[in-house]
Amino acid sequence: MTDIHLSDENLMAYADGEAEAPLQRAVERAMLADPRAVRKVVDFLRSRRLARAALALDGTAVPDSLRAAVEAKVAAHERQGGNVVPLKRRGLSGLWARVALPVAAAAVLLAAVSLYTTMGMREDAGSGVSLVAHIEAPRVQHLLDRLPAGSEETEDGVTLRALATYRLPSGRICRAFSLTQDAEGAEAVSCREGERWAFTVAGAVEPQAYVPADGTDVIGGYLAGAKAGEALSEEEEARLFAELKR
Amino acid sequence: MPSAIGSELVVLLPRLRRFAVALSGEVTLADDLVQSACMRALAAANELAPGTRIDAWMFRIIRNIWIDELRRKRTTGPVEDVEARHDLVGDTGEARAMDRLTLQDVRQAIDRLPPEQREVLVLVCVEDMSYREAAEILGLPVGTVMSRLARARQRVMELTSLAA
Repeated sequence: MTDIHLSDENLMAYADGEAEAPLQRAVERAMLADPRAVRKVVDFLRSRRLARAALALDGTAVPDSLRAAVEAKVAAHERQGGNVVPLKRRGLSGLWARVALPVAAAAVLLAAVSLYTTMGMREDAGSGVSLVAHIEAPRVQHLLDRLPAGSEETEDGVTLRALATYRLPSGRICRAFSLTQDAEGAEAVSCREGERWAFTVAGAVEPQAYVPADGTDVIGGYLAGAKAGEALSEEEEARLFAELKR
Repeated sequence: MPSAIGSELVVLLPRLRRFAVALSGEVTLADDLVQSACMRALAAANELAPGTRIDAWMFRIIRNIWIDELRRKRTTGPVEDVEARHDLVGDTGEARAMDRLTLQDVRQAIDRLPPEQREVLVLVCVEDMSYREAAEILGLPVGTVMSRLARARQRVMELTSLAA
């Protein structure tokens, strides 16, 4: 088997959703073969998310003096008959608009991340991989049928928290939820297939960490790639649960 | 939908200032940059083509003013490669041993990047510009944008001791 050496920039382009299909395939092959490639892709996803979070705007972003100065200039401009021009606003960019991993890629990334964690290359203890086994359990199936987003239930030390419900463009319903047990955590997405919730994607998270770990990146990437859009409202969820009961 | 450029500028102020701070590394200078850019934008408003992305246009103006400012002061441009400056690494390392990583740590790491890496990081990772859009704003080849961006992110991971 040929070793594919990919530059860090190739891996970064993949993580940023800037890779064309042939490069995507090459990166995915590399990730399945080499945990270091996985680590690099996950690090790029993480550094992007951290940069965004660290520089997030808050209310103190603009000093009054600057705002006043600009508003004064704008007012002067408009008094002189400043023009009205059709301008394009930036498209909706939630956290994942640009980092939308294709659905297949997210699945590959997940498989590679799991491989990476089970190979014990992570330094931090507790990968949440064992929790992933719970995802298909009957208890989880029943909870996904009725637990509204924002609610949680605990049984046998395992807490399931429903996070959000989405309807994909295909009409398929997917639910994002977390499972935590002691210091281990996993976030997952399961999608409705016939009579059951089929495990789709999951990743390990650290429940207590200030900075969420890789699992959140994989989930977010999947949901964006699948064009999940906005989460269902409370009412829409209630209607869904009622339908499922029938 | 038609929109007065003036009100767009006011709405954009927080993002413009964030970019200007990233470029110049100094808050007062950043405010001056933003003000100058807004004046230039208002003066050039008649030249705006319909459908222009005003944010990208403003980032470009801010950067052009910044480059002019650097030239005017006859300052040499930002150091291209500070990888050799090992003194930049790790004085937060000890503090990190027991502490959880905070966003403050990440902010500090970003502040320590060379300006040409920081500006790319902000445009792509924070402002969600594509590589091509960032390249147009910065007047650089896409390849240069990518290499600076990769270094910036690797640097941040190193400085916050997050990389494995």
